[in-house]
Amino acid sequence: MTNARVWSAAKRVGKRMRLAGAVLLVASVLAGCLLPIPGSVSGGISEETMASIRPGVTTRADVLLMLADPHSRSREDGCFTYSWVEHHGGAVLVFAVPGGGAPIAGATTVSCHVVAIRFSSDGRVSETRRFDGRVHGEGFTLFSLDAPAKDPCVVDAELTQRVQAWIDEVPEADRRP
Amino acid sequence: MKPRLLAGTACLCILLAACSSTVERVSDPRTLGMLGFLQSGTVMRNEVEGRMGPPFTTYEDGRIVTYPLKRQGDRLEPAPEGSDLRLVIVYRADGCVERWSLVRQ
Repeated sequence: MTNARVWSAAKRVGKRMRLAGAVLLVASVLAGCLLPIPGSVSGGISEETMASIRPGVTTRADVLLMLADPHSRSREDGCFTYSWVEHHGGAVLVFAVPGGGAPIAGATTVSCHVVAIRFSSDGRVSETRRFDGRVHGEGFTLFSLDAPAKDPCVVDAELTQRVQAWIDEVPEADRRP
Repeated sequence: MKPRLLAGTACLCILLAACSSTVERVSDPRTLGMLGFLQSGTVMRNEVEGRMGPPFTTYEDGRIVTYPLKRQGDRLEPAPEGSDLRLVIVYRADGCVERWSLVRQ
């Protein structure tokens, strides 16, 4: 066998090996290594709690006793906002490599929610409003899991603007001298 | 099991554990019992601050105060970092505890 023939045979074997690797990777994904991530909510405000906050009746003390410290307070505590992040779920790819490693990569979708509560000058709730942010994707790898996650409530500038606009629109009755 | 595989598996378990939690008042008697000294209508502000220290946050000129708390064994201790429990106390004008609650955020 000539050198050219040997080289050609080796190239064919190399191509087959690469093809086999790709098939193996696809097969591993299809064989259940692509796992779903269920949705989750942490620190949300339930509909039941929202319903129990009654304008003209519920006081600032009542709100604090129910929900504790807000995430933000406006001037003279005229408004409180409570925000939380909802993970809508996604998928994670797990694949083992020789030597026992298990690199992970995945993507989820998240959104931010805000409940804003406005108080009148007598310390009672005058208005409440819930704002829902846009759902956007978030990718990660095993190596980025330790990195500080970007706060979806900060990333969603449009939501922040909507909430701030609502806070700034103080009703005439609640305007303070 | 190799450490990286173990770490990967642990991450997976965390990712796959579906959970939902809302802000709610703690109603578990055992946990609330750790704050048994807080008797509404009898305990004064100076006694609370003697045990808990200065409050973390105040509202309405100090009438309402909050403390972040962390469970340390069978006690709840003030802990500004890594706490998901908030003690909220409303004082009367005379400095006596009027109402309080423990909230899981």
